[in-house]
Amino acid sequence: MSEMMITTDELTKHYPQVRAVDGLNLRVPPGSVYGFLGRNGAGKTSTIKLLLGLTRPTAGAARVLGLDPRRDRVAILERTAYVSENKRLYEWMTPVELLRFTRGFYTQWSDEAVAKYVRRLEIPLQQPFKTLSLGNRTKVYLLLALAQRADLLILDEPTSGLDPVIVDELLRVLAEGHLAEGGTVFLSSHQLSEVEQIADWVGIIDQGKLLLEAGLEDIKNEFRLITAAGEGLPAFGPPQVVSAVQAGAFWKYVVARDAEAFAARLQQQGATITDVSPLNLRQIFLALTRKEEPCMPGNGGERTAAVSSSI
Amino acid sequence: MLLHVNPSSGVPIYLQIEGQVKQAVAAGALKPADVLPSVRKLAADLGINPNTVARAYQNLERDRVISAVPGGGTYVADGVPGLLKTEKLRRLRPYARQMAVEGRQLRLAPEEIVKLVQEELAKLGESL
Amino acid sequence: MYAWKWWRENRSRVIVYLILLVIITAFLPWVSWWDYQQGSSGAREAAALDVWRICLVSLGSPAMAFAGLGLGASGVGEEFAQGTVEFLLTRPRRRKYFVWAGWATGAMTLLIMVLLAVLASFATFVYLTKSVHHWKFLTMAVPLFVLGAVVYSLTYFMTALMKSGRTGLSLSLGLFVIALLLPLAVRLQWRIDLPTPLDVLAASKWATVPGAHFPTTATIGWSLVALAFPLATQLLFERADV
Repeated sequence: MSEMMITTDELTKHYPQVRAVDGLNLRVPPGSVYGFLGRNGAGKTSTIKLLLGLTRPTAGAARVLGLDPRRDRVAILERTAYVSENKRLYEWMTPVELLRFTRGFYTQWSDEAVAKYVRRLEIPLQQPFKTLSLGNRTKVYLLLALAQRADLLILDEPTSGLDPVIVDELLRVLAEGHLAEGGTVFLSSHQLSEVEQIADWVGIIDQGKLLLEAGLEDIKNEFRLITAAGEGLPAFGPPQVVSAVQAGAFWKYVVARDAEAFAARLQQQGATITDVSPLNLRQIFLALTRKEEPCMPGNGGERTAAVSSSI
Repeated sequence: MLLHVNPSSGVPIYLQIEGQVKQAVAAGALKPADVLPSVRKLAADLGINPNTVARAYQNLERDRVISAVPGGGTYVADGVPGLLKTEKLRRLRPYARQMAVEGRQLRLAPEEIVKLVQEELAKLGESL
Repeated sequence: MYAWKWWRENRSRVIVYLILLVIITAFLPWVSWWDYQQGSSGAREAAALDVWRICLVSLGSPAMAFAGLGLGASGVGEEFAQGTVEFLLTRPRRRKYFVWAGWATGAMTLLIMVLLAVLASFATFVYLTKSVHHWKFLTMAVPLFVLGAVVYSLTYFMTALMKSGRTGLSLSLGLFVIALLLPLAVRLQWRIDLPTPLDVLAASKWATVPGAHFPTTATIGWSLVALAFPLATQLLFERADV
């Protein structure tokens, strides 16, 4: 697996009160856009900090660009660009000064890229950072990352405060620049529709563990919502059934794979299948991460989504 | 030609692209030897992952809908030459099965299902 | 690059402080000038020089300590408080580069401030006496710098330890005061002489009084202390979880 851009091996990070990352096994293929998804507090930012050598793991290991972040941090950072979740930079500097400061660290910096992105993302260059809105701060941070011409972009909430036009522009910029040149993107975001547009791999983390890691298209090809009517339908099913919710006379099952087989089984039990439909990323994410209240009318009881990661 | 994709639908983007290209070819909007945008350009225009476009193009090429010339350019292919009838039927069978299953679940009679297919074929014929 | 950033951040404060300092030290020789003029005998001249020396030391020491506190609070530790440490430590440089580049820039600034302050004072003196006879006076820069550097390095370390310039400064001030008062108390109580940073100031006597002894041990000792703190900061910073 040495060709993977990022791999983690039982990566673990414990803080005094919480297990932020708990035996995580990630694989990020080169040239992919990997959407790293999870609820707040699920461990996304902690994982990213481990990958960048900002913190050290309690146990386990990670490899970024084939290197160990504990030992070869600088070598990794030379080829990796990062946009932090907190868009904090030096308040007194203008974007021009920030560019000048950042430029000095990198050999592959591109001034033409800077000029191009300033124009396309509409970045104000002369105002001090402290006067900039969140959206503009995000843009500046992105600019600093893109100008690096890195092999790997690690982006934590890169669309904070950005209006839809700029988000669209950003995705295009990524598609025609970084991705077209074979770069990899590791993207953590709550904006599932944007992730859906650009990602080809998805990893969903919950309470420090990976719930699901697969190609986005494969996920969409396999996940199905089965609506069935009938008596005595099961509230639980084989492992690939992610959730089961009862709504009146109907049961809605979200199935991670082999939907046809499960539907057939239900039919054997006398159920009528009224609908088998695909799901978008948001629906899949919610099905996997939402924990239902146990024993309330309208649901089939608590289900922790333990879907095996191979689809 | 303008391709449009909806990333938030349950249908994978590559399938949407494939579907639209096939539809355009079937309806005559795309004729043999028409040029398709490059993977890079299409990805950039739509703001989607080039790998996704690449996959769609690969599948379309495998299905002989388009062909890529080494050294540049992707073109709509010249019909579907050299495919045996049995092969063409084999390709179509999964769609037929899906129609049969869906039709049965909806409790439609076989004649109604067949009529539906004929109507769609007629529509395609009109726009040629 | 980090040096540039540090300088741009602290530039205005440093320049204002420097101007004030230089104006005051330049004024000092006038204080003892009247005495000096009167004195044709060696004793009078020596007395005048002594007045000048005491003025410079008693003004210069707190001035340099104060400068050390202020400059040290702008050290790497303050990046935590500003929220910029994540950005900084994801640049491709070893963490020790940031520690030492920051420290060195501050130390250099401190050195230049001391040199200019002492030079300004000496320049006035030369202007008044029309002679450079007492050039040894310039060596007063050494103890003032060492003292300032000790406070600076201590503050630099405390800022990194507490991850905040404000807290670092307060704690450093507290510790420095203890470092001054504790030896006094020990001497009063048990008649034991503990080393204190003020020991280096004896060098000022060597600069003006013939036959005085230069406090080599103290100067070297406290210089090493001043270097030990950034080293400790490096060890701390390299292990810090961000």
